[in-house]
Amino acid sequence: MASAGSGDEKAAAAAMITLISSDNEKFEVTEATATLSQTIRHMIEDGCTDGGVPLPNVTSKILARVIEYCKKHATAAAGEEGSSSSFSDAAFLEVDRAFLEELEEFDDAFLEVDRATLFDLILAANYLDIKGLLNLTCQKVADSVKGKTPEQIREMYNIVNDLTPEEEAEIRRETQWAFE
Amino acid sequence: MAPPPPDLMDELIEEFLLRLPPDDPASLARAALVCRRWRRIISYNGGATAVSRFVPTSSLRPPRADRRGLRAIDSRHGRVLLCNDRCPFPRPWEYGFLVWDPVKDEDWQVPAPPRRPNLYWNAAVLCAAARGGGCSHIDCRRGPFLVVFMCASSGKTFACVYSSEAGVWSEHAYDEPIYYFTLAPAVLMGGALHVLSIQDTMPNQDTMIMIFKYDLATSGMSEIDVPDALCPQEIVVALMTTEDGRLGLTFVEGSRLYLWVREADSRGVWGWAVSRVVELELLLPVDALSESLDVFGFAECAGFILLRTVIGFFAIDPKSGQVRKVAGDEGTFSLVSYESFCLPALGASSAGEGPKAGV
Repeated sequence: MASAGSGDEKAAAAAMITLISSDNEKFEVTEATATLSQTIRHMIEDGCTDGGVPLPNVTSKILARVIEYCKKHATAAAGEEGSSSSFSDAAFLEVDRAFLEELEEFDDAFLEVDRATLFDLILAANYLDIKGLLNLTCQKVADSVKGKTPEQIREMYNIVNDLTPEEEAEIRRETQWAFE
Repeated sequence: MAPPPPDLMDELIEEFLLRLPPDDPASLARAALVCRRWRRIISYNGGATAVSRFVPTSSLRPPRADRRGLRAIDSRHGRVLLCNDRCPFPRPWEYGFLVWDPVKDEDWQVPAPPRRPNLYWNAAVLCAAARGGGCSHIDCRRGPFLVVFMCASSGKTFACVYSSEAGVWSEHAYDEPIYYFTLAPAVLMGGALHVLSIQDTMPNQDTMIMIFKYDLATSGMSEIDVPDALCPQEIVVALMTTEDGRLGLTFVEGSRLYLWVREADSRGVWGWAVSRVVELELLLPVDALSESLDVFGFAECAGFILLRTVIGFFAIDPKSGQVRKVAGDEGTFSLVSYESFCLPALGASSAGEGPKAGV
């Protein structure tokens, strides 16, 4: 960011957007943080963010978590851009690695939530179109299902088994190798 | 009990089901048993989530007592071709073949081929529709199949074809020269099987490696020469297909993997050209390179090259340079890659899906 025209960039970075949760709580965030959401990015481009962005599908509890994620990842994105011009390659790689490690630790801690919150985060990531968050949360669910029996998965996610015994037998016959 | 998680739309359930590890298709099969909705989502998208991985047949399926002593010769279109492995060489002309569907654990006995070769032979299994095209080979493993047996016998070269529909072998004989086949895996390309052979030339002349091309539709044969770099013939070669559907071959020299591709020059004359040289020192563990290593085969479906080293077998993806150890070196004589598609409960409809709780 040490390039010419940094005044404009600073002004852009400082522009604030107000997000309004379903329970009417207001969150002030920088444009850089908000535009990790493609949905909000499009609204900004269309110039319809004056007076705040209502998000009727996201509660304040989940929105606070989503903003926490976006802040961290927006900083990471800005850090990557800024460091490439001001460090030698080796130093840049070093910084890059430290940064990625920190980000990974953040993501791991971020996912330490109960299953209901995890699903709410998936819904919010989908609605707000935040690719990184959707990937992160869906991978977490996939990891939790991996290696589990169908019974364990049902119990974990409160799913009622509506397959008839015949249907179950048919699937088991088809995929017998998976249960050996 | 924790409150039930919020309901997710189908596309979001699909999002995380697609993230189940691709080298563990069992996860997907078990997820299909959770409830009707999951099963429907997995079945509908099964075609898109092709699973193509190397799995030792012993872990995919523990060897059954009656399958001990069988050797895998070839695998294609969801089937594996097995043959009784009698010392010193498998002899299908005595015991026939077994075509095995590892997913359903069903097999078909194929009678002995009509020709008894002088030891040198090769064989391939394929979907019967490969003869005329028109099959995507995604879910044809229950359908009719062909076994092609190629050998040299009584001064001629023979291609014998068994059709599971007809239940009989037919054969085509080719006069000189005689082709001595090796058990290197065949490559199916453009409606023809390509196999390596050693051609017997005039007395006192060197034998030559040749590619024997057998056209499935016409039963005609033709030969394709190999690059001059492959003489002398001590080098172990594997045939392969390139991503853009051309015939290729690959071999190791020193610590380098060479990939050659068949292409036409500006005058339209076909020849061989080096398409890539991969430095294996950068990809394989040091002890794998401590002794000489060879190309072992090419996995037609997955596009991997199999390498045999002193510490085991490695699969290398020539596009990405990704390397994966696929088997140890414990007495492995044959290794075929098997590909199938995970389509749990294909016939089941989604009608009558019950009330949902949670997901």
